[in-house]
Amino acid sequence: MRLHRLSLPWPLILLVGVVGAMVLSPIGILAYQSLLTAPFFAPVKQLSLEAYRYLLQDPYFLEALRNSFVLGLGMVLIAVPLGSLFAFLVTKTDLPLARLFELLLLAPIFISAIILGIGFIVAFGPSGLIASWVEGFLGRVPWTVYTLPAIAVIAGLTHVPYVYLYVASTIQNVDASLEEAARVAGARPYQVALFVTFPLVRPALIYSGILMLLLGFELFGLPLVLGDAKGILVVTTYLYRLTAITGTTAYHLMAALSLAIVFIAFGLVLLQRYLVGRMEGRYVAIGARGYRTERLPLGGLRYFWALLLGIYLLVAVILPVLGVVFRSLVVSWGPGIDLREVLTLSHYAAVFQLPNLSRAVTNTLMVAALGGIAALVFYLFIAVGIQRGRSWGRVLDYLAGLPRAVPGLIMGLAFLWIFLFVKPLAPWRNTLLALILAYTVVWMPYGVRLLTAALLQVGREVEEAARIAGASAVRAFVDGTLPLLKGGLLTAWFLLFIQFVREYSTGVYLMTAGTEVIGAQIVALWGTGAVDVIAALATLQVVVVSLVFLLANRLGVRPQGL
Amino acid sequence: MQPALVGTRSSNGESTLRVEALEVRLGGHPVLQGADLAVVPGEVVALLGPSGSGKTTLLRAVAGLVRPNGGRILLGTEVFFDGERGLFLPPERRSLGLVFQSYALWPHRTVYENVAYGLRLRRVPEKEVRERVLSLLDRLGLTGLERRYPGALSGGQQQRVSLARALAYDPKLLLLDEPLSNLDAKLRDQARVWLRETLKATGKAALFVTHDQVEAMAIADRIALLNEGRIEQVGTPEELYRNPRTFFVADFLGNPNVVDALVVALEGELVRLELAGFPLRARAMGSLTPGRLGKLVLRPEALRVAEPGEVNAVEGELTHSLYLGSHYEHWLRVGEARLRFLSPRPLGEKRLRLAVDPESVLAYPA
Repeated sequence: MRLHRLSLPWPLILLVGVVGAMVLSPIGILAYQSLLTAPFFAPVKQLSLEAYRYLLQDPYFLEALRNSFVLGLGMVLIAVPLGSLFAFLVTKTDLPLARLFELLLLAPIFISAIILGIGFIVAFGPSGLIASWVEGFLGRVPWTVYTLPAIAVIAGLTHVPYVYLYVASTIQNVDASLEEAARVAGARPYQVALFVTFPLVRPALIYSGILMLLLGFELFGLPLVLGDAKGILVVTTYLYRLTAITGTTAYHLMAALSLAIVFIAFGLVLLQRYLVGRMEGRYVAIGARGYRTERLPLGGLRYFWALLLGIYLLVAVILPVLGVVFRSLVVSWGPGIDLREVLTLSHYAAVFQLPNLSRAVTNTLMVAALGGIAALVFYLFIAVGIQRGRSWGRVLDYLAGLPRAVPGLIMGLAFLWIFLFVKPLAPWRNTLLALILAYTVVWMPYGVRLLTAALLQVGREVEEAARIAGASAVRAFVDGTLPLLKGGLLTAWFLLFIQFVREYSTGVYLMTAGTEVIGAQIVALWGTGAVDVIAALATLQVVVVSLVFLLANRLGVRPQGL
Repeated sequence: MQPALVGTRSSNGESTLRVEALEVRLGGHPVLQGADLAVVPGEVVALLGPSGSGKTTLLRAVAGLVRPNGGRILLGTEVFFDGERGLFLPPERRSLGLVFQSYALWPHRTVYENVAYGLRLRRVPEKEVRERVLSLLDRLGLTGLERRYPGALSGGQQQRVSLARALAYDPKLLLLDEPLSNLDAKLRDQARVWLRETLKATGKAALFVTHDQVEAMAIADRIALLNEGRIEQVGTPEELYRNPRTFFVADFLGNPNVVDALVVALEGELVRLELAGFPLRARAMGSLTPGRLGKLVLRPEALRVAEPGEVNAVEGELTHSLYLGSHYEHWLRVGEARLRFLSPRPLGEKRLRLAVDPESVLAYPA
């Protein structure tokens, strides 16, 4: 009889090496460049801390930093209370139309922030659709969308769904008898919420609060379209405008700034882990009983809450999206214009006639479909490695979570530099592979989490039974686990497809003639003021995402928050 | 919702719980189909029945956690639910105490805060809250645990905290859902006695759900036995055990032998039957027809090895004997039937005659 000697798990080590290279090299090249005085490819360069010195003395940078912080804080203050309130109403009470609200509340997660931002301008901006309508009544528009507080409010409103999604899924796990016990003791529904439900999901509230700060720092699309014109910079738009501000392509400044953003984001991720980890135990008692529980009655107030939710959806989702769609169908818009004279399909004709724009549409679909599959397969290897790899698995877990702290815009920049820096990779730069690679790294934490959850649900017994029956490890996985994983893989693919379609920041620096995608193209066009074409592109993106979302919803795919 | 409050709260004697023709459908499936029940002040009543009989639903309907589809629930003159008038009092306005099967202690609150919550909701001054909570914890043997979190308590302690929480605001009626099912077997035997004593000491009416007949008999003054959404019989444990009105009640309590036998003749209260050729007299528990089959319920403890010449006996062959520590359990084959019976000592013979008093054999129509 031959015994197998325990050997080093070479495939696993290879996987750790590949993931490590993909995740660490962008951060490495940023760090390297930030310490140079000139571009890394320049013949004459020196090591120095000059870039950091410059940033710390630049008033624009400090203001952008402050603005980012204000933005994040606004998002925390608006999105966390509203998102948790909506989560409670939809999952626990007899709110009318709860099913419809549930579906609509998820929409903003799947629509690019930049499109929502443009939608806000079209609907509520000066001479916007709603604004002009209100002006007709009041003689003036009692709001503005171009100030920092306005951007913070809009960012807060558009990020409510992220909080909603996370808190709702946690609230659903709260043992209903804990809430019933409070009611029997004499608590009215709002007292139940304040005494039992919300305290029990405190980790989820804190998690989503820090998530808001994090997303606030990474926010790019909204401040770009809303703040740029009035010179309101945040860290990401400051990075994007750095070339214009300094008048030269300041590689070392861009690198130092990117690294600073990554550090702040990384700090927030660590804080999130620490706070949530510290609170485990006393919170969220998961219910075991299967009996049906009555939804908490809101009484006459149920229509008030439904109205509030309806107004929220109207302002934050429906009007901006309809605004963009409407704008894509008219030549121009303003007071006194006859609708029949301005209706047109010419913007769409332009999209399909201009090669760079039509390429953006086909490229987006290619990247989402094929790139989505490639990323999915890669994430599956990582997820299996995390589950089976013991200590190597833990290393993988940390590596795969690292991109969480690198915003798409910065990841795109770093990959651009890698393609310039590593000569053998240079030919890739002008292909969609570059984009797919960057997307795969940016969405790695999200995708790997989807697949580890799916793997966890299948359990290992199926495979163990196959091993006992005589199957090899690989055979046992392919015959046992993989068929059961189909549902989870399909869900993950749908969600990745949608995220890849709506992605706009990662492609900004990687865009070349031939590798345009809708999102990055919109960013590039924004500077030229071609709102007509932008609206048409945005509408196409919304249509693709909506169709896929509805199809996925039909198939029972539940969305996952960040 | 307001008209539901027309009832006035009376403090003594008047607050009988009355459940009348209660109907509950969950997801289109009828769970309770016309249940009637009364619980008088100071009385402990058990809701007993197999799983799916609707006992927990009945308890949750009384608590207000399930909204019934028809019938009435009243406590004294206070209307909790009236299907005809469309009245439904939400649970928070019923002022009942409820002990959950899982205890449902709030894991993020200390023992003290758990017990005090009902009082604080009722805006009792903090000083009085403190006095009442501490004296209640003391009475339930929980002194010194008030600052602990539920996660740091044993199962038995959690159960007592949940009882304290239910008692804190002096409810007129206490509801308990399988109060002992989460304790391990040894602890449960002690807890039975303790729970009975504690409930009686509070002087409150209590309604509790259990699927364990021993528990129901040990703790309750009266038992309401449920079957398929209806209350089959209500009575003291003795009444139910000795005079089960229906075959279901007789069969459910005490795991008896059930055999078919031919009805031969009616003799007033008694009936003459034939079991595998042996004549047997039994109590007639319903309209039996001579010439038809009847169901005989023979409790193992009523069967004894017959003395020579003893009548009302059957003879058969011993098939199995099991040693169970405190006694022996035997199986006797009589014709097609197998009868289980007990004896303190092992039995020598293979063929045996078993005698039984006619009063302790129950005959039901098949």
